[in-house]
Amino acid sequence: MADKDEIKNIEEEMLKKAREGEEEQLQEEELNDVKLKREKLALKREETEDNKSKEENGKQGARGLEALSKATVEKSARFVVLFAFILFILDITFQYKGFNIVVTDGGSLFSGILEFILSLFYPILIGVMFYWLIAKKKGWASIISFIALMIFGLFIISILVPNFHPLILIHILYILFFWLAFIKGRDDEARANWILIGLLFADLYLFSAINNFSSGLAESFMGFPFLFFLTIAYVYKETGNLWAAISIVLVLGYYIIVATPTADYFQGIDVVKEKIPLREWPGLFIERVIKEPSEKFGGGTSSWFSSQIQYAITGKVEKNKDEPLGVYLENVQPADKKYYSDENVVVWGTVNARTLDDPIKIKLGCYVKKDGEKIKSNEVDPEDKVTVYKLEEQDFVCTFTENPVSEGVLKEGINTVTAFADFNFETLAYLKTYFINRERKRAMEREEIDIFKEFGIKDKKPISVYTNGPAALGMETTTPLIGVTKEYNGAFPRLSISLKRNKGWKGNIKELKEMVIIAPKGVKLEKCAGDYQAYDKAKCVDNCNKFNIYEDDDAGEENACESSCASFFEDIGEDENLYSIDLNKSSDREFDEDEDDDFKFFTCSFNPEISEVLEENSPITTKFFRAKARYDYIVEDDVTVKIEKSLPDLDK
Amino acid sequence: MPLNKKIILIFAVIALLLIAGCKGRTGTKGSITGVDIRSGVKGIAMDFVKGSPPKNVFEDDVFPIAIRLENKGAFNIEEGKGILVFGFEKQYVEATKEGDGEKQKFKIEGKSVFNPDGDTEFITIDAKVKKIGSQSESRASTILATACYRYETLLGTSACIDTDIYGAEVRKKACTIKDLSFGNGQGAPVAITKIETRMLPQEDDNRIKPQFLIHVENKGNGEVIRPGKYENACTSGALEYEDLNRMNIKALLSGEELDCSLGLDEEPENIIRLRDKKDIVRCTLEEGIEKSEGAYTAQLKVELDYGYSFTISKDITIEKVLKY
Repeated sequence: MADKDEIKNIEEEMLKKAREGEEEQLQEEELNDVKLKREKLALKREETEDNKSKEENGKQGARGLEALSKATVEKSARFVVLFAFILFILDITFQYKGFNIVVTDGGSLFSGILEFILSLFYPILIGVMFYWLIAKKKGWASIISFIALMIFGLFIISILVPNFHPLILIHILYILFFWLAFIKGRDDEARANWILIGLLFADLYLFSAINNFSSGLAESFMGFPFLFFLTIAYVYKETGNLWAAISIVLVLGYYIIVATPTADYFQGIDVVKEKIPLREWPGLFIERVIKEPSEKFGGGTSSWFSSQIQYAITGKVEKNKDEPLGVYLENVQPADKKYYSDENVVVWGTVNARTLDDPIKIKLGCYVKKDGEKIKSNEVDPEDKVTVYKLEEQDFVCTFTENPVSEGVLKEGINTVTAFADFNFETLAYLKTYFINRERKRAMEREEIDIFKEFGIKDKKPISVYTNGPAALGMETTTPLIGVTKEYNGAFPRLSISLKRNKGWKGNIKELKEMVIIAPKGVKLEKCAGDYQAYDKAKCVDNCNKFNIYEDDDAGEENACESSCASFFEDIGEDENLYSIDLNKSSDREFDEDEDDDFKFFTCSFNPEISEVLEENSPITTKFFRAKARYDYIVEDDVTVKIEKSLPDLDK
Repeated sequence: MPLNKKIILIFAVIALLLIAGCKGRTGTKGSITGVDIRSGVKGIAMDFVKGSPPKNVFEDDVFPIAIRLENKGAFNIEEGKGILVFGFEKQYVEATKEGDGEKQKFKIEGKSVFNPDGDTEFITIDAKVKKIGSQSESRASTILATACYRYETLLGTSACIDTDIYGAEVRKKACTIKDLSFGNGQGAPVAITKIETRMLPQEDDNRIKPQFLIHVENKGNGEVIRPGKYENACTSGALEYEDLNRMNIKALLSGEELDCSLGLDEEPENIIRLRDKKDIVRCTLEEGIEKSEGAYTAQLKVELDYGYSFTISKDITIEKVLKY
């Protein structure tokens, strides 16, 4: 506007001068001057318009970029959610644990890690040079985080290459993708690097770290999808992606309802599907929602503590390639959704059994608990004990007949019926122990020589390995490396054995029938806490008959015991020494069925004979202690049966 | 810095590193170079031949165990001076020939001018798998192999002897006393890493005593055993602590033997003891040298004599053939 006024003023001035007759007097320079001014103004106007349009374009461009990156983020979010969900399914299927590392010697682990880091001096130097050249921000914080990331990355590669597992690689790729899509561009470089290290460590090593501290705790968390929740929660927070929210809800629901053994107490709560009389609500609420889970949770926690503190004999289950050994109840359910009070109540199920050795005799049945007493069902099919050889599946049916409601066995409303399988089973365990001349051991220790490292022995703390089944048979000696000498002067090394219910198994050990210790060549038991005696085939048969291990065998009890004992002694070496622990005292053999963590503990001192236990040509000798426990076990499964008041007879 | 210049710089750095990392042959192009056989810190290298034993074996199987022994040092192991013993978990695996099968003797020549890599020997035995227990499907087992042998470290070098211990002599000397470092070893697992030279005054003013501080280190992955006791290391018998980390030392200066004893009652003469795999021993020419000799270079020879023992292990899995 100001420019237009200026032009107007100039023109008016010219007209005025012309009217006054002074136009002729206007110098050519003044005319040119005016023309120049006009041209300048026009140019200025053009420039202003140019700038305005450029600004407009710039704004559009920025909006365009923003729109483009938002679209990319959205796509990335969808991809991450899908990737994470697939990963979750794979983790559940393959029981992902990251690098399942067992530390046998903490000291060498730390020195090994230190040596590894020191060996990376040159690669790190080159990496830092690269980083310095190409990084936008060159602060010390980002360089240090980059070095840490490089070391950690190389550490992962050094473990992954010899222990390649595709699922681990997929996890790493997922974490890298998530980091690139959501973390790298949004946080400062150093922080982004540390977040990547944290994610990789948690996903690949956290299980191993916890497992080496407490295997019980690690098992509780095994299968929990930390990575899934962390990353998808972040995606949801950043993008509000609906699929992220849905997948979190689905997975959380899955985990709570189905996923891990430690969620068992939820399975103990049967969801009441149908209408329940109002008067039963408070009782049911207290019983089912408060009392039962609290007892199971409290029991589980205290058993974890007690297993860590009260006795420390650990062991691990020998893996089976196919189905695990033992007896399992499956698909236990009432035959009908509901019954009336004048009807027979029928519960059925399937029992699965697998053994590699002696046949299992299983007594099936059902009971209800009333006033602390177990009232069994009137009929069971099959009525007699079922004998399972190797691998079998057997259906069974329990029937409560004779007006169970009017007899007071069952009641109208919700009833808990327990199906059980009572069977004999046998668990074997072995414990590796090293023997060395005591003088040599002392000499090497005095010279600060690591004996295990010197002899290339990686398994420095062997633990008892027991066969699959309902019982855990733990064994341990005073030390894994026993110094052998001619004279112990009373301070003999000791062997301890424990028997308790195996983790993850329902039911209880009813009674220990037989505990046999098999000592290696040259090792004799010196003294036990209780009585014990030598064990041979005759003793085996005698015990078998005495405790009715094989009852009502069609082939004849004696034959079953003979063949079982013959089969057992086929596995025994000529020079091994066998002993059986005296179980005459009921406290030594009977388990308290009300206490989930009841266990039996035996300890004996032993005397290794130097000329027999040490192999002549070997500086260190490896031998195995073995044990066999025969016991009766009862496995149970609860089911809810609903009984309604019977309808009146219309005919009457 | 523009991106393309950065990229060029990165490639230039990589190229420099690659070039710097390449090692050309020593000596002038086309000339024959001698190989120093008395270098390196290895003695006997031992490993299981691939597939022997196999990773998985079955009950009642017989399988081979083969050990490759390479003498990567400069000392020959004579007949009967090398012993190899096998250790099994005998409840599950044992040698088919008990006794002799588990203990083998070997001899291997070390590096020489005609054989700069040293000899290789193979020792093979057969082992039998036993039963693993009726309720088990598989079992892990470890096989050990322990080698015990007599070895020597020989070092020959020149040392400067300068009788002018106070530095009073103004004339130019033939040599200067300095510490000698030997970073590459002498072709044996026990290496002499450094020799410090000192000249000590004697009671007789006209003589000085040359003294050498010899730094010794066990650079190998095994243990040093007193030379006469190395065979015991491959048995289950006792070993006293005085038998471990002990070796004989003999040092000669221009053919004259130096006194290397510790002067302690507990150790016989010229036996040195390693602590934390290292030791420093003082060897002195007790009779001394005339001061008038001045500075000159003398031949110094050091011999270490010891036994050596180390073990390797291999894990196998014993499997049961399931009959259903």
